[in-house]
Amino acid sequence: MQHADENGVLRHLERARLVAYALGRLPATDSAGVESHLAVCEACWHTVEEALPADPLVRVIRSLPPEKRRFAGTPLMLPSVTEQGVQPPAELTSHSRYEVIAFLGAGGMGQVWKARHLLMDRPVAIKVINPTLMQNHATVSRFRREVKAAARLDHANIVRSHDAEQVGRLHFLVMEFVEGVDLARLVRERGPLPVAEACDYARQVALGLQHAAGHGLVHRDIKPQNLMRTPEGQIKILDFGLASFLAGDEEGDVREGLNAVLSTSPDGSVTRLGEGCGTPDYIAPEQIRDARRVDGRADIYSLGCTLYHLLAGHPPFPGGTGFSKVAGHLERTPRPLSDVRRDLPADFLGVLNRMLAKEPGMRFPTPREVADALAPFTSPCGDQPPERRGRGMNRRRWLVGVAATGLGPAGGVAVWRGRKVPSAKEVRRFEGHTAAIQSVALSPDGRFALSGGEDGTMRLWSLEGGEEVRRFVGHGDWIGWVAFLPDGRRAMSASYDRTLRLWDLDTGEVIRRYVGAGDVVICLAISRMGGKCCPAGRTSSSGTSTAVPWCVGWKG
Amino acid sequence: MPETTSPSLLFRLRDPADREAWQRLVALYTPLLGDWLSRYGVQSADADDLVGEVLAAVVREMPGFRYDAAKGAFRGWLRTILVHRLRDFWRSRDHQPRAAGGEFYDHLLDKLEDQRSEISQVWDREHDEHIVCRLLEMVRPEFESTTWEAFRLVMLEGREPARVAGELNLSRNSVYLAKSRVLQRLRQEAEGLTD
Repeated sequence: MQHADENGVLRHLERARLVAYALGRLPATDSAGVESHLAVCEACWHTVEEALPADPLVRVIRSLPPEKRRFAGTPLMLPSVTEQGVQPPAELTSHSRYEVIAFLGAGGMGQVWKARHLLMDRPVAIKVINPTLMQNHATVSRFRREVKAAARLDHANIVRSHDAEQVGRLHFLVMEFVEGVDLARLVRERGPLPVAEACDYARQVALGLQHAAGHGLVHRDIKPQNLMRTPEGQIKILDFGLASFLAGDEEGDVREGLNAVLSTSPDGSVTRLGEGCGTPDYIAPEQIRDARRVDGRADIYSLGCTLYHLLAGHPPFPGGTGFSKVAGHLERTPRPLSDVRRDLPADFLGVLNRMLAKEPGMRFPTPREVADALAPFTSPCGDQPPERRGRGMNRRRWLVGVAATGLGPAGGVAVWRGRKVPSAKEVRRFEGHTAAIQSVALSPDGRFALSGGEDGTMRLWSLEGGEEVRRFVGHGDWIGWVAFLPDGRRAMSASYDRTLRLWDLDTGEVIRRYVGAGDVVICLAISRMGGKCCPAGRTSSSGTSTAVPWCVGWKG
Repeated sequence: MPETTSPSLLFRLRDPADREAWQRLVALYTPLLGDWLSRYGVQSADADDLVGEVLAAVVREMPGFRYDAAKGAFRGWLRTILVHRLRDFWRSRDHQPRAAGGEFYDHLLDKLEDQRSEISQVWDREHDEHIVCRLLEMVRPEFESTTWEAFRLVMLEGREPARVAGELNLSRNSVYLAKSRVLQRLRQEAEGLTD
């Protein structure tokens, strides 16, 4: 076939030949002629382009996940290319309602982008569903159905789904944008969480699940990676409806468990194989056996595995292949959490074990009951190690306050007990400070109180006996703020003498002394994990008080 | 047309004496098979042996394998060999994982053997992706770096050919040509393996 006839008039090539060329199916000897024609004919290029998407090999190449594309060649060091990073799909960049701001991450289901909704002027997260998951009409309609169901959910602990959209070949899920970190990353960075913190997070998840249960929805893929923590400490469940969408199958032949077996590489990293399948680290036994028949109790099991992970720093069946993890969920008891850490309240293990029961009927019947069962452990008072807990002290709520009025120049601390302040009754009074008390704090185990006063002393009181256990002397001026460290064995005080002191409560000695940049140190806050403290004070002596927070860190 | 292209890997494997082709097959498939075996709970030392056995079975039975252009024939055939080897392995060495229950395990193997099961589809997809990636890696040195980059940006990153042309300072035509040439080379290698 000539590209120009004897009169020099351009003639388009046969379609079949162009398609063969486009797909790389034309013998090299024949390709040269096509190429020279294409060099001058734009129209034929379009034919070439149109032929590509239908080709299986091209489809494989186009849908390669980013981590696999690396094997096919890293970018050359062309600045214009390497600076680009991950590119949003054209369907998204050209979208009239959204402006892409940043790449947030990629998972088995697809890439997630942060974008701005231009009309509403609010940030959203857009999940671009991997096109390989949307292979036929039935899948697409199931996707829409699940997203629609999830969009009805309206709860503080669930990431809101706004919309499901289709642009060209791509399907997007538009969601509320949540600032924060997922719990898997949190544990990776910080290690196992304190009991109260972990229980608080798990309880919030249970509340979200309860709301979903009211709408007849089961999540099916509760895991630390799907739980976001906002800077305010609120937990938001991600991806409601997505696991269900992937689990449903028109042939009724889905076995999530089988896929779960295949989803983990020997090194423990989850491969793309397992996308959308229950993650084998958190999957319920009945979900392994028959994913279609699970109910909300599978989520309770997965939440139990998640809570285990938060407290142990690893899932219940760490290491090994997906196969051994699945075998673990089906038939083995995980290593007792009490072997991993020793600060678990005695009653707590019963709650966790009930969440992790192999038999759904042995678990809590609803997420609401999980939330209720976890509630007592969510405050630091519930964090007390069993051996340190005083008899008769458990389960009581303690309240310490400064009775400022009527005490004259000398300070006193009163302790009330009870669930509600108005009906609280004074049970004990601590007297000893020679001047007014500025600050009090309650120890993490609820057995002791600290007080700091204008007499420059800090005092440790036993709530049970009422006696002054120890006096801490050293500050040269009023103590404005006292606080326990999370370990309950050290404390921090902030004083008008411009210093901050870290005390050993057992010995009464100063461990460290911190001198602030400014004037007096008025108050401080300690991170719940320990290791960090933020005091604030006044800088100028002219009387205008400018709060200047600074940060103090220590090890251990 | 295939008769005028240089022979694909699968075609070359018909000749037991084509050592280079066999070496290429081993290099292509060892990681993939090893990965699947380990997912099925086979320890790595045993997995190495089993990969060897599977590939040996391919060598032995290749003359009898008829590449009749049936879709996915080769990867399906390989999957079947893998399942048979795994069954033999568990039976003969009494390696069946006790904890998970034999029934569950048998079910798992049945699923992998069933062409239409979801696991088999996962195998197919993983197989194709793996083969395409490895082949791309193998043919890459044959191309000029800008040719490769044009191919990579358009095909792997999904970029607009016109924009890629601008960035790489190529004509749009050259971008299309680059894409087509790499694709042609890839297809020649992959013929019969992925489709």
